[in-house]
Amino acid sequence: MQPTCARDPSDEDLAGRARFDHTAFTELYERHFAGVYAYLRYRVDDRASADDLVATVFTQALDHLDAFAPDRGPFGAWLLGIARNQLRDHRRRRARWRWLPLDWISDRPGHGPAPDAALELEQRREAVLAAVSGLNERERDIIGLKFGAGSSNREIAAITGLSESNIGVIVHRALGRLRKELNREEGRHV
Amino acid sequence: MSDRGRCADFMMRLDALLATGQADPALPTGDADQARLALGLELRQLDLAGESLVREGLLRALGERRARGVSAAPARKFKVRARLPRLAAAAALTIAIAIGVLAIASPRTLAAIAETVGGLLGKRVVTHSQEEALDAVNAFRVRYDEGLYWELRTTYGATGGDVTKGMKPYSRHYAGIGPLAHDARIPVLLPTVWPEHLPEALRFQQGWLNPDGSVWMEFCVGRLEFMLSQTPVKDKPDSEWTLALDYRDTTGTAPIESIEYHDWDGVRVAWHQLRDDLRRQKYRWALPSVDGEPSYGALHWEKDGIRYVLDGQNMTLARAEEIWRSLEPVKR
Repeated sequence: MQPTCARDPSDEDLAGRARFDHTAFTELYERHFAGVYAYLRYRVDDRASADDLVATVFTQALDHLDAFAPDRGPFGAWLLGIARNQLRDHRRRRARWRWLPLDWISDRPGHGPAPDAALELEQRREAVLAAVSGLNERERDIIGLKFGAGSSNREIAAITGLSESNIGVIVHRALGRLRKELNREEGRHV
Repeated sequence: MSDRGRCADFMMRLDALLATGQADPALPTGDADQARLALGLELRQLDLAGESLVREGLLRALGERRARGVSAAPARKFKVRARLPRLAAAAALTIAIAIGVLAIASPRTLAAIAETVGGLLGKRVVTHSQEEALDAVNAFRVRYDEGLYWELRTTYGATGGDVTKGMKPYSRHYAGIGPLAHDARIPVLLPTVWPEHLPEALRFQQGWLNPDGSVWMEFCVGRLEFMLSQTPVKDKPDSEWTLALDYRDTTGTAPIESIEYHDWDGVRVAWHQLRDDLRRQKYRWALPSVDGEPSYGALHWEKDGIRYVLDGQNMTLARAEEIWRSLEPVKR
């Protein structure tokens, strides 16, 4: 979630220009898409929802760039704030509808058989995400911020309102639980 | 060493590992934490964004969105140079203010004016309720099964009783992004029903028209809310809604306490309710109930090939029945 090298313009500079210059917005998008998407993917149970949410986040960001105030925090944290708000709405709606067939795009054409390596990667990804889905909401939030968005403990503390030491404890415990769950799953498939 | 101290050490090692991709040899490593560290690195390196189907399409769509004039630039920097648009903008603002003032001071007058204007325009205007009439802006979010991320924003007139009922916007603009921009109009295929009775000043908040033909409507005020969904089931077994209910029961972390069946005017309805503590355990983001009593309630039924679900926080059977009995088909 940081500029790739010291000579790159900062997120804040780009955000200022992006109000009028789509190239600057594109640069911000390229920098932050993976982090925001990964954060959302750790928080929701299916790819379609993550796609839906990430689209909403960047659309809102584009529409409300003038609301971004660099003195209140970095651009990445602002995006994650939008993402967390969207998640809240999403969960409120989806809570009741989890049995509806919402995963409409998973069977789109063009997803042929994957090569072995890709398939293995995909299986591992699914296993990890399944294990993450067993964590509680706070743990998922922090795992998403830490490992998905790549936020520092200080940034997570600012976003969540928790102390940095608390975050350390939560990450430590969550990783332990995930490890245990993944080991159990691997044992099941051996 | 205390738990917190151990965690602080662990975080230091983890951050070093995440930053470099390699363990810092200067830092001590305990066996118990090795697996955690490796997993942390794996979580960071997992290419989750690689599975996204929208990365390129979304960026393209955002560019088109900006090009269409849905600009991110602050409104204050926008200058209306031509006289006509400026006058039109001033007139629109004046009318909007007048409607706002009238809506607050005399909603009945506003409704009467709406009827007259609607009649003159050949539109059927049915003012649903004062609250709804004042509900000036609502939004439908529409999700296409292929194009996806098509967003339809619907701006209702201040008197849009018939608008919300028929889901035909009084005026609207499209803020679409996605490859299916050629077809902005989403038909409502169902013979949609609409509750004539809305308890406790609940009002229509927003709706969704879904690719499977279903229509969801959300009504709320404050912490009270309910959702009415209407889904075609003609190609599915009649009992699917029951299966769906069972599915939710077995997959949730909290059991549905009971399912009651009732016969209302020859229609079999199923009613179930979750205790507030179980509901909040299941849906951690849920708001507490207003009175601490059983809170989340849902009514399921099928009629004429459509599955209906009416559910919400603080929904009681009596309230559900009241709404159920007031459902009327929308005339379009």
